[in-house]
Amino acid sequence: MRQPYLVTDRLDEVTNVGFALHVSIDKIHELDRSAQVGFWLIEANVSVQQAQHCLNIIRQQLIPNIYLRPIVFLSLNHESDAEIKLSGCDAVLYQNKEIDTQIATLISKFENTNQWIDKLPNRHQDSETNQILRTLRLIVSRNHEIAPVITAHSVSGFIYPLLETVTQGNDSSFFNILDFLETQKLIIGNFISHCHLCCQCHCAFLNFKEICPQCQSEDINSEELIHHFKCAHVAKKSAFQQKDSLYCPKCDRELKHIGVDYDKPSVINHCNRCAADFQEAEIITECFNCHNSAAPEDQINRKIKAYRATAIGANAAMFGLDNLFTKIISSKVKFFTEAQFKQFLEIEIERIKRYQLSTSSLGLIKFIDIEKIYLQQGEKSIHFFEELSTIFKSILRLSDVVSTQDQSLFMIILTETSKENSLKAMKRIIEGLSVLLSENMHYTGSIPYEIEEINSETNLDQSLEQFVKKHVG
Amino acid sequence: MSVNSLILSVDGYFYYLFDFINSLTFLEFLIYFWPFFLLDLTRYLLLDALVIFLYIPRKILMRGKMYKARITLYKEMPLVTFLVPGKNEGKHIPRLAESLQQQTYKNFELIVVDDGSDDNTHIICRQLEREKKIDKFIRQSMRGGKAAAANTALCYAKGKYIVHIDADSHLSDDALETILLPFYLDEKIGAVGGDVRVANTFASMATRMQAIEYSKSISVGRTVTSMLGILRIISGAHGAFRRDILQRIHGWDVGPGLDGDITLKIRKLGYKVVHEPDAICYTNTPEKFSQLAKQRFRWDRSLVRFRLRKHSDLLQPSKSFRLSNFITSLDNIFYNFILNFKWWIYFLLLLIFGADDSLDLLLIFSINYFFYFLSNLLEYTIACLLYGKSLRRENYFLFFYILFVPFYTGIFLRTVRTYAYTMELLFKASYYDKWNPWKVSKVAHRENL
Ligand SMILES: [Zn+2]
Ligand SMILES: [Zn+2]
Ligand SMILES: [Zn+2]
Repeated sequence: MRQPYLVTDRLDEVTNVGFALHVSIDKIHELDRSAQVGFWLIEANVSVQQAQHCLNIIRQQLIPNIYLRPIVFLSLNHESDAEIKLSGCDAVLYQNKEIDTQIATLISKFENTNQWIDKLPNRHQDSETNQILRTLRLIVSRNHEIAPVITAHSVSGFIYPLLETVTQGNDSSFFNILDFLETQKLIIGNFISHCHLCCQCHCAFLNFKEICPQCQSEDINSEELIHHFKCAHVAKKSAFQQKDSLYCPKCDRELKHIGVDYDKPSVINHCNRCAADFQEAEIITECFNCHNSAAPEDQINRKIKAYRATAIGANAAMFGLDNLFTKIISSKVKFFTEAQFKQFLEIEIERIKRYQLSTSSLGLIKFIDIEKIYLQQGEKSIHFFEELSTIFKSILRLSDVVSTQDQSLFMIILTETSKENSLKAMKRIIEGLSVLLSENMHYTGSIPYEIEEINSETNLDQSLEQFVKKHVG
Repeated sequence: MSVNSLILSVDGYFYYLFDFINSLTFLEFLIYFWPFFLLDLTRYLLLDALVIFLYIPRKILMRGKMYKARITLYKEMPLVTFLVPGKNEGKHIPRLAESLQQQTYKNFELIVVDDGSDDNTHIICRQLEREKKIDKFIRQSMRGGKAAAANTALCYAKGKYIVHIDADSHLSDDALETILLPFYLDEKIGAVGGDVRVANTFASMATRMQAIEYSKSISVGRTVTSMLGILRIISGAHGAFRRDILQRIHGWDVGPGLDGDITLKIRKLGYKVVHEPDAICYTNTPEKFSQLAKQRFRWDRSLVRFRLRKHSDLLQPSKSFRLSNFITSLDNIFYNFILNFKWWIYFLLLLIFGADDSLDLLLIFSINYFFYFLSNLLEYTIACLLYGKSLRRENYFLFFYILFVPFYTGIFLRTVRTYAYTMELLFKASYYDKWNPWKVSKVAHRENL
């Protein structure tokens, strides 16, 4: 039977006697693996902020079994509901009502989520650092649509409370994660609204201002024009105004009914600084946060969606994203698994030893973190990977064998290629990669690589170890 | 002898023709061809010839004054406003703005008013405004008619002079400075009409006919009426106005016919209006006779509406009575309106009294054709003389087409005109014209404007 676990930040101050099970926030990762956690309960009576702090610590844990479990705030009344809604907790427990019934309801409500977490392989390992996977797992585990909440408390104007802790408020990388998951069809978004965001800081608080197209002054007035049908007279409304009614200055008639004897065909703006008359004011947006001014079309216009996991997404959340990049790149270049690669290498070593006619080479390249690419490139990372594949494809031959470890270290067997020629090929790959990285990610660091001749002494594990030691540290 | 067998023999035709002419006494000849001798010959051909032969030497004598006027103009360098109202004219505006850059007189602004276009006019013009190729673009989302659109532009015009042009026309490079010169020759001049010529002369038969017609009725016709002091219209396609006068009369009134209307209003204030044949504007004319018929139907009706209805006071003795204004109106009404119906009378009379058989009718018709061909030839020659330096090669090619002009003016235009006058007199059809938005027509009709 699952139970609520009261999470406290100071164990000695536990006042809620009703809850037998409790755990200190800084000891939460040491909790017994067999504990049947129904949800984490956090006391939010004294301060929602403090409870929020506690929640953040739980959601930032690296153990799936801990950070994925539902979180419930304990509250006395509905006073702080608005604040709690933004906190990212899964539910609220009200102390003034039948607590036991509430708990029972919540436990059964979270049963599906908890069962899903229980099925996760390696759910007790504290190794879950991939922000994309964490985001996806939170979405999948809840099994309902994750909707945005509009709020002035967030700079981006809206938040997904459940997912806020993943990137710790770094909005641009958060958007990129969502975009990436969506383009990979792991989640699908339902359009909710549009939002203009500052192109510099992603702040949603933009001041839209009409300015004079000639002198950029904000001090402008607008006035309607009136067209008197009878005499075709057109002038500013003020020219027609006499006390409370409108009289035509051309024909002295009173204007009575709009649409019948007159209408207002347009509105004209007047600049109080440079006296220019113009119909279309320029519009400029100024960010309340970083004070950057830009034309509206230069700001980011983001579609805000509610997200739901797809079947593929559910699968990826369960078993990991490991194969994602390889999947993309292998559409162009044939990638082998590490085990297959080792087999090929052994065959090649044997062949060379036996005939002593040819030379082949082994190449290693350490590549920048793939996750960084996801975070920085968002949905564009697909194109990035495609270009990457093209580089590999254009330089390697069909007989060459390629594999990757951790999707950041590439291993290549260049068959029938001398060390010299392999070096040339390798350099061309590095050149291509450097251009790609500097153009797309502004990454200008070096890309480490190594070439060795394949002979009877070749040992892949040893070479890898040395390579990593030498270049990655 | 029947007509059929006559056609078989050209010799026979001429035999009968000369025989017929010989058999008539001079008086009988005049009686048979009274419309030509009594009216067209005197009012148009002789008058045109006389005045033009006065105009051309006068122009030469005026050279010194013109030179001085030009110096005054450039010393003063007044701002001039080009005013272009229109609906769905966006496609023409880039070319127009471009061509205005070629003007020898540079101190002008360009205001374009979009009168409720339903195409991409506003996108094109707004872009040109951003590129500073248009100084001001005003979009009226609701159509108000051409007069209202021009008045909107007038609201924001800053120029001392206003030049009203059509979007689909283009000006010769010195048109602006030339049209301004009369203001510096005589300070009683309130408005100057520019010459309008056909840009697409060789597009079709219809445009060739119009090219000849424009040269007669506008270039020569208006120069003549201008010299006589009875110019009655400054065309919207090309006209310059003093802004202070336009503002005094609060701009244009509800159309159609607003061009003639505003000219008369300026005259009523006591100002002179003149035509300047050397300020040239080339305009695109309808290429099909059917389109042309529609255009003329609209124009012709405005005669009834404005001359006979709205400005009937010009014909009545009153405080504002001026002889020249009286003659202006009378000339227009008489020669266009009444004389239009004279043809039907002439035809009827011929049928009843004059012609014994169809052969006589054919002969009378032939002689009339010959007279009108000859007079057109002379009138067009006068036009070519008037053009002087601005004469183009295409003007010579048009001489051949004068053969067809008697049919064009005598049959095509006359039929359209008769129909237009009848419809307007009987049904006030122009109030239902799509040319104005319905809301405006309704008020105009109710107010009996
Ligand atoms: Zn009025
Ligand atoms: Zn300004
Ligand atoms: Zn900002």
